[in-house]
Amino acid sequence: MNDQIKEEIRQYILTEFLPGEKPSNLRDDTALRTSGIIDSVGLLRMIDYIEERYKIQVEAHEAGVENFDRIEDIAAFIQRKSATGA
Amino acid sequence: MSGTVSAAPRPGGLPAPETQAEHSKPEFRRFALLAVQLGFFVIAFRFVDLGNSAIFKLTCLIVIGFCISYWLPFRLKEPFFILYSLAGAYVLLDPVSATLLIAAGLVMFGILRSALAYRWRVAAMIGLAAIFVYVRATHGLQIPKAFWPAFGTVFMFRMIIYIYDLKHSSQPAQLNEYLSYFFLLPGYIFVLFPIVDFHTFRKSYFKRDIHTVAQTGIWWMFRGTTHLLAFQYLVRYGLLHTVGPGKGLLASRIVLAYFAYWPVSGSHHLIVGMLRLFGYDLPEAHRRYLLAHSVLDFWRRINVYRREFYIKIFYLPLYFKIRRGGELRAQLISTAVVFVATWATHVAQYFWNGTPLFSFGEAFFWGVFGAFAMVNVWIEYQHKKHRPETDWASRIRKVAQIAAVFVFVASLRYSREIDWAKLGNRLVPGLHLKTAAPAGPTKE
Repeated sequence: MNDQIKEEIRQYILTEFLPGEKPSNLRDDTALRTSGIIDSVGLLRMIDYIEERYKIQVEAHEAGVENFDRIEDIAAFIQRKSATGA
Repeated sequence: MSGTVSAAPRPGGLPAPETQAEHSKPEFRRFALLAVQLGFFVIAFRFVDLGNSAIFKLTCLIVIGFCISYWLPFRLKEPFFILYSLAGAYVLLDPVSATLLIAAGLVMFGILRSALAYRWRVAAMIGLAAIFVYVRATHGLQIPKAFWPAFGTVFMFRMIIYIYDLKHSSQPAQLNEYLSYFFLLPGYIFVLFPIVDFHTFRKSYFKRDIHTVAQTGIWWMFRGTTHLLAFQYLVRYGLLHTVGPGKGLLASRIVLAYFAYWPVSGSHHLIVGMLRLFGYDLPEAHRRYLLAHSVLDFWRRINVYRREFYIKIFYLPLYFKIRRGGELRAQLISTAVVFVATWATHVAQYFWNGTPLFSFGEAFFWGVFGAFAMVNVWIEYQHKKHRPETDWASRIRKVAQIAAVFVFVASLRYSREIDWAKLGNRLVPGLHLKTAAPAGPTKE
Protein backbone atom coordinates (compact mmCIF):
# COMPACT_ATOMS: atom_id res chain seq x y z
CA MET A 1 0.00 0.00 0.00
CA ASN A 2 2.73 2.43 1.08
CA ASP A 3 4.90 1.57 -1.94
CA GLN A 4 1.98 2.07 -4.28
CA ILE A 5 1.25 5.51 -2.82
CA LYS A 6 4.92 6.45 -3.11
CA GLU A 7 4.95 5.48 -6.80
CA GLU A 8 1.78 7.43 -7.51
CA ILE A 9 3.13 10.53 -5.76
CA ARG A 10 6.45 10.17 -7.58
CA GLN A 11 4.67 9.99 -10.93
CA TYR A 12 2.54 13.01 -10.05
CA ILE A 13 5.57 15.10 -9.06
CA LEU A 14 7.54 14.06 -12.14
CA THR A 15 4.65 14.95 -14.42
CA GLU A 16 3.66 18.21 -12.76
CA PHE A 17 6.90 19.67 -11.43
CA LEU A 18 9.83 17.85 -13.01
CA PRO A 19 8.92 17.00 -16.60
CA GLY A 20 11.79 15.32 -18.39
CA GLU A 21 13.51 14.28 -15.16
CA LYS A 22 14.59 10.65 -14.69
CA PRO A 23 12.37 8.85 -12.12
CA SER A 24 15.51 7.43 -10.48
CA ASN A 25 16.63 10.97 -9.60
CA LEU A 26 13.53 11.52 -7.48
CA ARG A 27 14.18 9.35 -4.45
CA ASP A 28 11.81 8.73 -1.54
CA ASP A 29 13.92 11.01 0.66
CA THR A 30 14.53 13.81 -1.86
CA ALA A 31 13.60 17.11 -0.23
CA LEU A 32 10.75 18.65 -2.21
CA ARG A 33 9.68 21.76 -0.31
CA THR A 34 12.94 22.81 1.27
CA SER A 35 14.88 22.24 -1.96
CA GLY A 36 12.48 24.37 -3.99
CA ILE A 37 11.18 21.58 -6.28
CA ILE A 38 7.68 22.31 -4.96
CA ASP A 39 6.82 25.83 -3.82
CA SER A 40 3.80 26.93 -1.80
CA VAL A 41 1.61 27.19 -4.90
CA GLY A 42 2.77 23.75 -6.06
CA LEU A 43 2.03 22.39 -2.60
CA LEU A 44 -1.57 23.58 -2.84
CA ARG A 45 -1.95 21.87 -6.22
CA MET A 46 -0.50 18.67 -4.83
CA ILE A 47 -2.86 18.81 -1.85
CA ASP A 48 -5.82 19.17 -4.24
CA TYR A 49 -4.60 16.09 -6.09
CA ILE A 50 -4.07 14.08 -2.89
CA GLU A 51 -7.47 15.04 -1.45
CA GLU A 52 -9.19 13.99 -4.65
CA ARG A 53 -7.17 10.85 -5.31
CA TYR A 54 -7.15 9.42 -1.78
CA LYS A 55 -10.43 10.90 -0.53
CA ILE A 56 -8.88 12.51 2.52
CA GLN A 57 -9.16 16.01 3.93
CA VAL A 58 -5.86 17.83 4.58
CA GLU A 59 -5.98 20.47 7.32
CA ALA A 60 -3.86 23.63 7.24
CA HIS A 61 -1.64 22.53 10.13
CA GLU A 62 -0.93 19.23 8.39
CA ALA A 63 0.32 20.87 5.19
CA GLY A 64 3.73 21.87 6.56
CA VAL A 65 7.16 20.51 5.70
CA GLU A 66 6.83 17.82 8.37
CA ASN A 67 4.36 15.94 6.11
CA PHE A 68 5.07 17.32 2.67
CA ASP A 69 8.83 17.57 2.22
CA ARG A 70 9.63 14.05 1.09
CA ILE A 71 7.76 11.37 -0.84
CA GLU A 72 8.17 8.96 2.09
CA ASP A 73 6.62 11.55 4.46
CA ILE A 74 3.74 12.26 2.08
CA ALA A 75 3.00 8.54 1.66
CA ALA A 76 3.14 7.94 5.42
CA PHE A 77 0.82 10.90 5.98
CA ILE A 78 -1.70 9.67 3.42
CA GLN A 79 -1.63 6.21 4.98
CA ARG A 80 -2.17 7.65 8.48
CA LYS A 81 -5.03 9.84 7.33
CA SER A 82 -6.64 7.00 5.36
CA ALA A 83 -6.36 4.70 8.37
CA THR A 84 -8.11 7.18 10.66
CA GLY A 85 -10.75 7.84 7.99
CA ALA A 86 -10.23 11.60 8.24
CA MET B 1 26.66 4.87 5.24
CA SER B 2 24.37 3.01 7.60
CA GLY B 3 20.91 3.46 6.23
CA THR B 4 19.53 -0.05 6.33
CA VAL B 5 17.50 0.20 9.53
CA SER B 6 13.81 0.69 8.82
CA ALA B 7 12.02 0.55 12.18
CA ALA B 8 8.53 2.06 12.04
CA PRO B 9 8.53 5.81 12.63
CA ARG B 10 6.75 7.20 15.67
CA PRO B 11 3.54 9.28 15.39
CA GLY B 12 4.15 12.60 13.70
CA GLY B 13 6.86 11.05 11.56
CA LEU B 14 9.54 11.03 14.29
CA PRO B 15 12.19 8.41 13.54
CA ALA B 16 12.08 5.29 15.72
CA PRO B 17 14.63 5.34 18.58
CA GLU B 18 16.35 2.22 17.17
CA THR B 19 16.75 3.98 13.82
CA GLN B 20 18.16 7.07 15.51
CA ALA B 21 20.57 4.97 17.59
CA GLU B 22 21.76 3.15 14.47
CA HIS B 23 22.38 6.47 12.73
CA SER B 24 24.47 7.71 15.66
CA LYS B 25 26.92 4.77 15.72
CA PRO B 26 30.48 6.09 15.98
CA GLU B 27 33.32 5.14 13.63
CA PHE B 28 36.76 6.34 14.60
CA ARG B 29 38.09 7.01 11.09
CA ARG B 30 35.05 9.04 10.02
CA PHE B 31 35.04 10.93 13.33
CA ALA B 32 38.70 11.83 12.85
CA LEU B 33 37.96 13.16 9.38
CA LEU B 34 35.18 15.40 10.72
CA ALA B 35 37.22 16.52 13.74
CA VAL B 36 40.20 17.53 11.58
CA GLN B 37 37.99 19.67 9.36
CA LEU B 38 36.40 21.30 12.42
CA GLY B 39 39.88 21.95 13.79
CA PHE B 40 40.59 24.06 10.71
CA PHE B 41 37.55 26.20 11.51
CA VAL B 42 38.79 26.80 15.06
CA ILE B 43 42.23 27.82 13.79
CA ALA B 44 40.76 30.01 11.04
CA PHE B 45 38.30 31.78 13.33
CA ARG B 46 41.10 32.43 15.85
CA PHE B 47 42.90 34.60 13.32
CA VAL B 48 40.21 35.82 10.92
CA ASP B 49 37.79 38.61 11.81
CA LEU B 50 34.26 37.62 10.88
CA GLY B 51 32.67 40.70 12.38
CA ASN B 52 31.58 38.99 15.59
CA SER B 53 34.28 38.15 18.13
CA ALA B 54 31.98 35.64 19.84
CA ILE B 55 32.05 33.36 16.77
CA PHE B 56 35.44 31.97 17.79
CA LYS B 57 34.22 31.22 21.30
CA LEU B 58 31.04 29.66 19.93
CA THR B 59 32.98 27.50 17.45
CA CYS B 60 35.25 26.22 20.24
CA LEU B 61 32.17 25.28 22.25
CA ILE B 62 30.55 23.60 19.26
CA VAL B 63 33.62 21.57 18.37
CA ILE B 64 34.24 20.44 21.97
CA GLY B 65 30.55 19.62 22.32
CA PHE B 66 30.60 17.62 19.08
CA CYS B 67 33.66 15.63 20.16
CA ILE B 68 31.96 14.65 23.44
CA SER B 69 28.46 14.14 22.07
CA TYR B 70 29.72 11.96 19.21
CA TRP B 71 31.03 9.25 21.55
CA LEU B 72 28.11 9.24 23.97
CA PRO B 73 25.50 6.46 23.81
CA PHE B 74 22.43 7.63 21.91
CA ARG B 75 20.21 7.91 25.00
CA LEU B 76 22.65 10.43 26.54
CA LYS B 77 23.13 12.58 23.46
CA GLU B 78 20.04 14.76 23.86
CA PRO B 79 20.41 15.32 27.64
CA PHE B 80 24.03 16.27 27.00
CA PHE B 81 23.05 18.64 24.18
CA ILE B 82 20.50 20.37 26.45
CA LEU B 83 22.78 20.73 29.48
CA TYR B 84 25.72 21.80 27.34
CA SER B 85 23.60 24.42 25.56
CA LEU B 86 22.24 25.79 28.86
CA ALA B 87 25.74 25.97 30.32
CA GLY B 88 26.92 27.58 27.08
CA ALA B 89 24.63 30.54 27.78
CA TYR B 90 26.96 31.46 30.66
CA VAL B 91 29.99 31.32 28.36
CA LEU B 92 28.48 33.38 25.55
CA LEU B 93 26.40 35.84 27.60
CA ASP B 94 26.97 37.66 30.87
CA PRO B 95 25.72 35.69 33.93
CA VAL B 96 22.73 37.97 34.55
CA SER B 97 21.51 37.78 30.95
CA ALA B 98 22.04 34.01 30.84
CA THR B 99 20.14 33.48 34.08
CA LEU B 100 17.30 35.77 33.01
CA LEU B 101 17.05 34.04 29.64
CA ILE B 102 16.80 30.57 31.17
CA ALA B 103 14.41 31.79 33.90
CA ALA B 104 12.15 33.48 31.32
CA GLY B 105 12.18 30.27 29.27
CA LEU B 106 11.21 28.14 32.28
CA VAL B 107 8.37 30.51 33.27
CA MET B 108 7.01 30.29 29.73
CA PHE B 109 7.32 26.51 29.77
CA GLY B 110 5.43 26.45 33.08
CA ILE B 111 2.56 28.34 31.45
CA LEU B 112 2.54 26.16 28.33
CA ARG B 113 2.74 22.93 30.36
CA SER B 114 0.00 23.98 32.81
CA ALA B 115 -3.41 22.34 32.93
CA LEU B 116 -5.13 25.51 31.68
CA ALA B 117 -7.20 25.32 28.52
CA TYR B 118 -5.19 26.10 25.37
CA ARG B 119 -6.79 29.52 24.87
CA TRP B 120 -5.98 30.55 28.45
CA ARG B 121 -2.38 29.45 28.08
CA VAL B 122 -2.16 31.53 24.91
CA ALA B 123 -3.76 34.49 26.71
CA ALA B 124 -1.24 34.14 29.55
CA MET B 125 1.63 34.06 27.03
CA ILE B 126 0.31 37.20 25.32
CA GLY B 127 0.06 38.91 28.73
CA LEU B 128 3.62 37.90 29.55
CA ALA B 129 4.83 39.09 26.14
CA ALA B 130 3.16 42.48 26.81
CA ILE B 131 5.10 42.75 30.07
CA PHE B 132 8.37 41.97 28.28
CA VAL B 133 7.57 44.56 25.59
CA TYR B 134 6.84 47.17 28.24
CA VAL B 135 10.07 46.49 30.14
CA ARG B 136 12.06 46.50 26.89
CA ALA B 137 10.50 49.77 25.72
CA THR B 138 11.00 51.54 29.03
CA HIS B 139 14.47 50.05 29.71
CA GLY B 140 13.10 49.08 33.11
CA LEU B 141 14.33 46.73 35.86
CA GLN B 142 17.99 47.44 35.00
CA ILE B 143 18.10 44.46 32.68
CA PRO B 144 21.45 44.20 30.82
CA LYS B 145 21.35 45.41 27.23
CA ALA B 146 22.74 42.10 25.97
CA PHE B 147 19.68 40.27 27.25
CA TRP B 148 17.08 41.70 24.86
CA PRO B 149 18.56 40.76 21.45
CA ALA B 150 19.21 37.24 22.79
CA PHE B 151 15.68 37.08 24.21
CA GLY B 152 14.16 38.22 20.89
CA THR B 153 16.31 35.77 18.92
CA VAL B 154 15.59 32.78 21.14
CA PHE B 155 11.88 33.24 21.70
CA MET B 156 10.17 35.61 19.27
CA PHE B 157 9.61 33.45 16.20
CA ARG B 158 10.18 30.01 17.62
CA MET B 159 7.63 30.59 20.41
CA ILE B 160 4.96 31.38 17.80
CA ILE B 161 5.76 28.12 16.01
CA TYR B 162 5.87 26.18 19.27
CA ILE B 163 2.49 27.49 20.44
CA TYR B 164 0.99 26.80 17.01
CA ASP B 165 2.29 23.22 17.01
CA LEU B 166 1.19 22.69 20.60
CA LYS B 167 -2.40 23.37 19.54
CA HIS B 168 -2.31 20.45 17.15
CA SER B 169 -0.18 18.15 19.26
CA SER B 170 -1.66 15.06 20.89
CA GLN B 171 0.72 15.29 23.85
CA PRO B 172 1.48 18.11 26.32
CA ALA B 173 4.64 20.20 26.10
CA GLN B 174 7.77 18.14 26.92
CA LEU B 175 10.63 19.80 28.79
CA ASN B 176 13.41 18.05 26.84
CA GLU B 177 11.86 19.02 23.49
CA TYR B 178 11.30 22.56 24.69
CA LEU B 179 14.83 23.11 26.01
CA SER B 180 16.57 21.51 23.04
CA TYR B 181 14.48 23.58 20.61
CA PHE B 182 14.87 27.00 22.22
CA PHE B 183 18.26 26.98 23.92
CA LEU B 184 20.50 26.43 20.92
CA LEU B 185 24.09 27.55 21.38
CA PRO B 186 24.34 29.80 18.29
CA GLY B 187 21.09 31.54 19.28
CA TYR B 188 22.83 33.42 22.08
CA ILE B 189 25.12 35.40 19.78
CA PHE B 190 23.49 35.56 16.34
CA VAL B 191 20.59 37.99 16.32
CA LEU B 192 19.86 37.00 12.71
CA PHE B 193 18.98 33.41 13.59
CA PRO B 194 17.17 31.14 11.11
CA ILE B 195 13.57 30.43 12.15
CA VAL B 196 13.93 26.71 12.74
CA ASP B 197 10.60 24.85 12.57
CA PHE B 198 9.78 22.81 15.68
CA HIS B 199 8.46 19.73 13.85
CA THR B 200 11.30 19.76 11.35
CA PHE B 201 13.79 20.13 14.19
CA ARG B 202 12.37 17.18 16.15
CA LYS B 203 11.81 14.99 13.12
CA SER B 204 15.27 15.56 11.72
CA TYR B 205 17.06 14.30 14.85
CA PHE B 206 19.34 11.44 13.75
CA LYS B 207 17.02 10.75 10.86
CA ARG B 208 20.08 9.95 8.73
CA ASP B 209 23.59 8.76 9.38
CA ILE B 210 25.47 11.31 11.52
CA HIS B 211 28.57 11.27 9.31
CA THR B 212 26.66 12.28 6.18
CA VAL B 213 24.64 14.91 8.07
CA ALA B 214 27.69 16.37 9.82
CA GLN B 215 29.77 16.44 6.62
CA THR B 216 27.10 18.49 4.87
CA GLY B 217 27.00 20.68 7.97
CA ILE B 218 30.73 21.33 7.68
CA TRP B 219 30.32 22.24 4.02
CA TRP B 220 27.58 24.73 4.96
CA MET B 221 29.78 26.15 7.72
CA PHE B 222 32.43 26.74 5.08
CA ARG B 223 29.87 28.34 2.78
CA GLY B 224 28.68 30.60 5.58
CA THR B 225 32.25 31.55 6.41
CA THR B 226 32.86 32.69 2.83
CA HIS B 227 29.78 34.94 2.98
CA LEU B 228 30.88 36.48 6.29
CA LEU B 229 34.43 36.92 5.04
CA ALA B 230 33.28 38.55 1.81
CA PHE B 231 31.18 40.99 3.83
CA GLN B 232 34.13 41.78 6.09
CA TYR B 233 36.21 42.41 2.97
CA LEU B 234 33.63 44.99 1.84
CA VAL B 235 33.66 46.63 5.27
CA ARG B 236 37.44 46.57 5.68
CA TYR B 237 38.11 48.13 2.33
CA GLY B 238 35.56 50.84 2.94
CA LEU B 239 33.28 49.70 0.14
CA LEU B 240 30.26 49.30 2.37
CA HIS B 241 30.52 52.85 3.61
CA THR B 242 29.39 53.86 0.16
CA VAL B 243 25.97 52.40 0.97
CA GLY B 244 23.58 55.26 1.54
CA PRO B 245 22.39 58.19 -0.46
CA GLY B 246 24.88 60.60 -1.93
CA LYS B 247 27.98 58.42 -1.47
CA GLY B 248 29.82 56.87 -4.39
CA LEU B 249 28.40 55.83 -7.74
CA LEU B 250 24.69 55.00 -7.65
CA ALA B 251 25.21 51.67 -9.41
CA SER B 252 27.87 50.55 -6.95
CA ARG B 253 25.73 51.68 -4.00
CA ILE B 254 22.83 49.61 -5.30
CA VAL B 255 24.96 46.51 -5.85
CA LEU B 256 26.56 46.84 -2.42
CA ALA B 257 23.14 47.15 -0.80
CA TYR B 258 22.42 43.67 -2.16
CA PHE B 259 25.66 42.23 -0.80
CA ALA B 260 24.94 43.69 2.62
CA TYR B 261 22.74 40.59 2.94
CA TRP B 262 25.81 38.34 3.20
CA PRO B 263 25.99 38.45 7.01
CA VAL B 264 22.46 37.04 7.11
CA SER B 265 23.00 34.19 4.65
CA GLY B 266 26.50 33.59 6.04
CA SER B 267 25.40 33.30 9.66
CA HIS B 268 22.44 31.10 8.69
CA HIS B 269 24.66 28.63 6.84
CA LEU B 270 27.10 28.62 9.75
CA ILE B 271 24.37 28.08 12.37
CA VAL B 272 22.55 25.30 10.52
CA GLY B 273 25.89 23.63 9.77
CA MET B 274 26.77 23.70 13.47
CA LEU B 275 23.42 22.19 14.50
CA ARG B 276 23.87 19.37 12.02
CA LEU B 277 26.97 18.27 13.94
CA PHE B 278 24.62 17.25 16.76
CA GLY B 279 22.41 15.07 14.55
CA TYR B 280 19.83 17.63 13.40
CA ASP B 281 19.42 16.97 9.70
CA LEU B 282 18.07 20.46 9.00
CA PRO B 283 17.53 21.72 5.45
CA GLU B 284 19.54 24.37 3.62
CA ALA B 285 18.72 27.91 4.81
CA HIS B 286 19.43 29.74 1.53
CA ARG B 287 19.41 28.27 -1.96
CA ARG B 288 21.60 30.28 -4.35
CA TYR B 289 19.36 33.32 -4.28
CA LEU B 290 21.59 35.17 -6.74
CA LEU B 291 20.21 32.82 -9.41
CA ALA B 292 16.55 33.74 -8.82
CA HIS B 293 14.72 34.33 -12.11
CA SER B 294 11.53 35.93 -10.75
CA VAL B 295 10.47 37.81 -7.63
CA LEU B 296 8.60 34.76 -6.40
CA ASP B 297 11.61 32.57 -7.15
CA PHE B 298 13.77 34.95 -5.12
CA TRP B 299 11.31 34.69 -2.22
CA ARG B 300 11.53 30.89 -2.45
CA ARG B 301 15.32 30.79 -2.45
CA ILE B 302 16.22 33.39 0.13
CA ASN B 303 15.83 32.70 3.84
CA VAL B 304 13.97 29.43 3.30
CA TYR B 305 13.25 28.98 7.03
CA ARG B 306 11.65 32.38 7.36
CA ARG B 307 9.50 31.79 4.28
CA GLU B 308 8.35 28.43 5.71
CA PHE B 309 7.43 30.22 8.94
CA TYR B 310 5.09 32.61 7.14
CA ILE B 311 3.62 29.81 5.04
CA LYS B 312 2.92 27.71 8.12
CA ILE B 313 1.59 30.42 10.44
CA PHE B 314 -0.17 32.77 8.00
CA TYR B 315 -0.43 31.49 4.43
CA LEU B 316 -1.79 27.97 4.82
CA PRO B 317 -4.31 28.63 7.65
CA LEU B 318 -5.77 31.56 5.71
CA TYR B 319 -5.69 29.80 2.35
CA PHE B 320 -7.46 26.73 3.73
CA LYS B 321 -10.10 28.94 5.32
CA ILE B 322 -10.96 30.86 2.16
CA ARG B 323 -10.07 28.45 -0.66
CA ARG B 324 -13.74 27.54 -1.32
CA GLY B 325 -14.20 31.09 -2.62
CA GLY B 326 -11.73 30.51 -5.47
CA GLU B 327 -8.18 29.22 -5.67
CA LEU B 328 -6.54 32.30 -7.21
CA ARG B 329 -8.37 34.72 -4.93
CA ALA B 330 -7.27 32.71 -1.88
CA GLN B 331 -3.67 32.63 -3.10
CA LEU B 332 -3.57 36.38 -3.72
CA ILE B 333 -5.14 37.30 -0.37
CA SER B 334 -2.89 34.86 1.52
CA THR B 335 0.19 36.22 -0.27
CA ALA B 336 -0.79 39.80 0.63
CA VAL B 337 -1.26 38.84 4.28
CA VAL B 338 2.13 37.09 4.30
CA PHE B 339 3.89 40.26 3.18
CA VAL B 340 2.09 42.42 5.72
CA ALA B 341 3.12 39.89 8.38
CA THR B 342 6.68 39.90 7.02
CA TRP B 343 6.89 43.67 7.43
CA ALA B 344 5.32 43.58 10.92
CA THR B 345 7.63 40.82 12.19
CA HIS B 346 10.70 42.60 10.85
CA VAL B 347 9.65 45.69 12.79
CA ALA B 348 9.17 43.56 15.92
CA GLN B 349 12.60 42.02 15.39
CA TYR B 350 14.18 45.48 15.24
CA PHE B 351 12.41 46.30 18.49
CA TRP B 352 14.17 43.49 20.38
CA ASN B 353 17.50 44.28 18.72
CA GLY B 354 17.24 47.93 19.70
CA THR B 355 17.32 49.38 16.18
CA PRO B 356 14.86 52.05 14.96
CA LEU B 357 11.33 50.73 14.64
CA PHE B 358 9.16 52.21 11.93
CA SER B 359 10.58 53.55 8.72
CA PHE B 360 8.95 54.36 5.41
CA GLY B 361 11.81 52.57 3.65
CA GLU B 362 10.97 49.31 5.40
CA ALA B 363 7.25 49.56 4.59
CA PHE B 364 8.06 50.57 0.99
CA PHE B 365 10.45 47.61 0.62
CA TRP B 366 7.91 44.99 1.72
CA GLY B 367 5.01 46.73 0.01
CA VAL B 368 6.72 46.72 -3.41
CA PHE B 369 8.13 43.22 -2.87
CA GLY B 370 4.66 41.92 -1.92
CA ALA B 371 2.98 43.63 -4.89
CA PHE B 372 5.47 42.06 -7.33
CA ALA B 373 5.09 38.68 -5.64
CA MET B 374 1.31 38.89 -6.09
CA VAL B 375 1.73 39.68 -9.78
CA ASN B 376 4.03 36.64 -9.99
CA VAL B 377 1.42 34.47 -8.26
CA TRP B 378 -1.14 35.60 -10.82
CA ILE B 379 1.23 34.91 -13.74
CA GLU B 380 2.18 31.48 -12.42
CA TYR B 381 -1.48 30.63 -11.90
CA GLN B 382 -2.11 31.33 -15.59
CA HIS B 383 0.82 29.10 -16.59
CA LYS B 384 0.55 26.22 -14.18
CA LYS B 385 2.75 23.70 -15.98
CA HIS B 386 6.43 24.38 -16.38
CA ARG B 387 8.05 22.74 -19.36
CA PRO B 388 11.80 22.25 -19.40
CA GLU B 389 13.47 24.99 -21.43
CA THR B 390 16.57 23.65 -23.12
CA ASP B 391 16.98 25.74 -26.27
CA TRP B 392 19.45 28.63 -26.40
CA ALA B 393 16.79 31.33 -26.68
CA SER B 394 15.23 30.12 -23.41
CA ARG B 395 18.60 30.03 -21.70
CA ILE B 396 19.42 33.56 -22.77
CA ARG B 397 15.98 34.70 -21.62
CA LYS B 398 16.60 33.09 -18.24
CA VAL B 399 19.96 34.85 -17.86
CA ALA B 400 18.24 38.16 -18.65
CA GLN B 401 15.54 37.38 -16.07
CA ILE B 402 18.19 36.60 -13.43
CA ALA B 403 19.94 39.90 -14.18
CA ALA B 404 16.63 41.78 -13.99
CA VAL B 405 15.76 40.21 -10.63
CA PHE B 406 19.21 41.10 -9.32
CA VAL B 407 18.77 44.74 -10.33
CA PHE B 408 15.25 44.84 -8.92
CA VAL B 409 16.16 43.33 -5.55
CA ALA B 410 19.35 45.38 -5.23
CA SER B 411 17.43 48.60 -5.98
CA LEU B 412 14.72 47.66 -3.53
CA ARG B 413 17.25 46.85 -0.82
CA TYR B 414 18.96 50.16 -1.52
CA SER B 415 15.61 51.95 -1.09
CA ARG B 416 15.60 50.82 2.56
CA GLU B 417 18.72 52.89 3.17
CA ILE B 418 17.20 56.11 1.83
CA ASP B 419 16.05 58.66 4.38
CA TRP B 420 12.53 58.96 3.02
CA ALA B 421 11.52 61.61 5.55
CA LYS B 422 14.38 63.85 4.44
CA LEU B 423 13.43 63.26 0.81
CA GLY B 424 9.77 64.09 1.58
CA ASN B 425 10.76 67.30 3.39
CA ARG B 426 12.82 68.33 0.38
CA LEU B 427 10.10 67.55 -2.17
CA VAL B 428 7.08 68.93 -0.27
CA PRO B 429 7.59 72.44 1.11
CA GLY B 430 6.20 72.85 4.60
CA LEU B 431 6.38 69.14 5.38
CA HIS B 432 8.34 68.53 8.57
CA LEU B 433 8.76 64.79 8.82
CA LYS B 434 11.11 63.55 11.52
CA THR B 435 14.25 62.15 9.92
CA ALA B 436 15.74 59.02 11.40
CA ALA B 437 19.06 57.28 11.04
CA PRO B 438 18.68 54.05 9.04
CA ALA B 439 18.94 50.82 11.01
CA GLY B 440 22.18 49.82 9.32
CA PRO B 441 22.88 48.03 6.07
CA THR B 442 22.51 44.46 7.38
CA LYS B 443 18.86 43.49 7.25
CA GLU B 444 17.00 40.25 6.64
